Amino acid sequence: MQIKVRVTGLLTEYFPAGKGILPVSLEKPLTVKEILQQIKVNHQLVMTVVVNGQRRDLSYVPGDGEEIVLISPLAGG
Amino acid sequence: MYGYGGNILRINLTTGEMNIQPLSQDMAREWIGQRGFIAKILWDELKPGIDPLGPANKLVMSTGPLAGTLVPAGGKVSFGAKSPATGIYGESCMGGHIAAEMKYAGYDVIILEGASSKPCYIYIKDDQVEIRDASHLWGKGAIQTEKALKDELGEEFQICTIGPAGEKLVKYACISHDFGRQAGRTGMGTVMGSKKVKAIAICGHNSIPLADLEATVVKGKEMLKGCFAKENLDEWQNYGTAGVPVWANNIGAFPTKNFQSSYLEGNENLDGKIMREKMVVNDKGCFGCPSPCGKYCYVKPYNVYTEGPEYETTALIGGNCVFTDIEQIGYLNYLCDELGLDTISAGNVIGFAMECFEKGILTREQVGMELKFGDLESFKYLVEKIAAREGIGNILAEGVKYAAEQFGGDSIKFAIQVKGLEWSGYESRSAPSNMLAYMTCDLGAHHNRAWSVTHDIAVGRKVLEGKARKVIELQHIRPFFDLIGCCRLQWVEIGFELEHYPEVLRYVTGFDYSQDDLMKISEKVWNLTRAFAWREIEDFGRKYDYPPARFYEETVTTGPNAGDVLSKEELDFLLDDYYKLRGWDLNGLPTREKLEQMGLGFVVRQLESYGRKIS
Amino acid sequence: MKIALNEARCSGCRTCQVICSLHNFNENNPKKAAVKIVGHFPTPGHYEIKICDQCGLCAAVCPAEAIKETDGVYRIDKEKCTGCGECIEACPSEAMVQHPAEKAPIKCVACGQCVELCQRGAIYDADTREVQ
Repeated sequence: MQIKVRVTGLLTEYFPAGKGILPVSLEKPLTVKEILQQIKVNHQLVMTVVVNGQRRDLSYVPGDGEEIVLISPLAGG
Repeated sequence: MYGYGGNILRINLTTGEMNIQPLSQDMAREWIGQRGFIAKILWDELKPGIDPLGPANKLVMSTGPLAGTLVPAGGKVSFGAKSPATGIYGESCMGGHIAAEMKYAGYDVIILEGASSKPCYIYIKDDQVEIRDASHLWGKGAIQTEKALKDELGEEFQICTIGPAGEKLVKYACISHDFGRQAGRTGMGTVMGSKKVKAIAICGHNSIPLADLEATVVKGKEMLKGCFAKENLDEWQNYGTAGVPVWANNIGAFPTKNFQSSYLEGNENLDGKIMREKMVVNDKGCFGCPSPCGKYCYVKPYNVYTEGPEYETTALIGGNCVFTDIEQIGYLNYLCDELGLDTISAGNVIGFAMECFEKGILTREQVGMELKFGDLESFKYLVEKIAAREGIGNILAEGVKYAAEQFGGDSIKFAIQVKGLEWSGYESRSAPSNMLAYMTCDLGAHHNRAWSVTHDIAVGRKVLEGKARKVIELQHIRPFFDLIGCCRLQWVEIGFELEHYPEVLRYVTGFDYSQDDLMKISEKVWNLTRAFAWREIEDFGRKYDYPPARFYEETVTTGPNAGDVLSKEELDFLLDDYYKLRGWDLNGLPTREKLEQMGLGFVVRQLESYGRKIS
Repeated sequence: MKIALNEARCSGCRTCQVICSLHNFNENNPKKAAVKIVGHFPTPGHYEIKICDQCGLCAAVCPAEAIKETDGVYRIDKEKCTGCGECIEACPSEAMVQHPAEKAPIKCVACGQCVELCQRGAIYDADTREVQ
């Protein structure tokens, strides 16, 4: 199965695909946290996970073809 | 002059004299605006050693060239003065609508000099400027005062005010505007109070001339729509900075129990989603904002309205004083706002007092009641005592550093401040670059200049190498927004690109800056404000850049980073690297070469005339 | 273009006023905008938007017959206008704006610039979009 990952804000600086979309192939369904481990992005850099406009967290398991958007943390007011 | 209100308004409150001078082309080109103007004016006009609360201090209000235009979020104004909290350069910015209004009235800078003998407010309608009686407003809350003046003068006036804490000269009194925006830090409300100025009310009818109007419209629209299209805009608009507390806790950065820990049990109750469901009545934006983060709230159990709580308030009132009920925090936020207190410093001071009580350094007799972390009555009691400067409040009104010196014991070790300014809402023993950022901030421990917790996470939280470079880069970018009159949050929070700004500055002002030129000016201001501190304090230098001993002697008590600490050696490594990259000497003082390279030869000459030995 | 309002969505940013003055007066001056934003703070904490709904009452009361309708939009003929202010008094939406530097009142001509830049849909075009 394949999913797509995109990041926003300051997180683009530390994301392999920068501002682009990163396709990720998975052998089995994984949580967002596990997927981040696979693509070597520190999950602590993610504040919120958005899938189809819904607010999710790191334990969410995306389905085949889904695009997950990772919202970077804000910079403290 | 294109992009500017065009004038500097100067009001002497002692004599009642006023004058309006045109802003010079050179001043505009070389210092851009806002914080650049403030730093230059305070350097030129303040004599070292003056009493920050005496008539010789000046309160300078200034905005930048993009404020009031179609450029996204051009709604920022800064206030500057010699800070009564730190004794060095003080400055604080806020949003709302008064920055734009100043420019429509024709002013880029308003300077308040001297001091009035009786309560007054400043009335400005275009070139009609008056010092008016404010005896009917004295003693009123900051928000109540704004409401009363709006009713009196009309909706078209934009008004900033101080609360009772500013009148009583509490050292961390804020300037309040737009029913919930504050210039909170470094005691700018205190300086306003010392001049007996309760409010500044402005209404302007003029146009801001634009160097290239058509190009500004096209570019302004492109920038706005660029912000509208950002993927994370909804998340940001829905929760604002209230989206942050849970994340900050999960990564172990949430100030807890006067910074004993970086992890608060029960923090999940402070989530933006819960706040939105329980309290938010409206999303409130500042002037020209494409991504409004203000969450205007009705706090039902206490029957009060308040804007926020923002992240910093939730961190310092919530985490630091151990409240896990968002409605209680909303209520305490309301109290601070009406009293006119900076919630960051107030949360620090009260958390500190609670810890002193717990440790037996403060007693029931001294305080007048028993203090406990997480106890609403304790907070309420103290905040009111502070604003009135009554009893224990008279000591706490001076800030944690002074209070620790009075209370004794080892309390100075957990008085969480740098240079006398209380620490913003990120516990940083597990984030060396952020620690360095707050240590070296020109104002004291404030997040406005650089914030870099994500950088620490991304490149390694134990890593020290390379951290200083990142901090310096951010110390030029973030405060750059405080030169141009724009909010930085479009860049910081929704990822709006920096590349737009030199181009749009050209269309608005006609000045052709490169990105590099702009960063150089930001760096020049940084060196100037550092020099300001040195001009004030003869032995200024490295020893003023250390955090409190808690951060290098005690480990984080609980949570994911329990056991973490940064040793003094590690802090020195960070400082050595930082000073070197800045072109400063080993004691953290700007060198002759650096100052001259920045075009600050006049600073060298003056520092020498005051006997400073420049290497 | 039928300008409609959803005031609960207004965040008070006034971008509508800036673009209105830029487009219609070639000036960066929100005081010359044909839309007013009125904040109701500290209670109950929301914004009110005042903008013309092209009802035509201004034309009906104008003693100089300076206000004419074309394609459902009422416009002021600045040559004919005497600046008497009758229309301002009569406007049921309180949407006519007076500026000290302008003789004629300022009135919305439904150009739609504010709609284009209202990210929140507080001002929208009812011809093309349902209320959010």
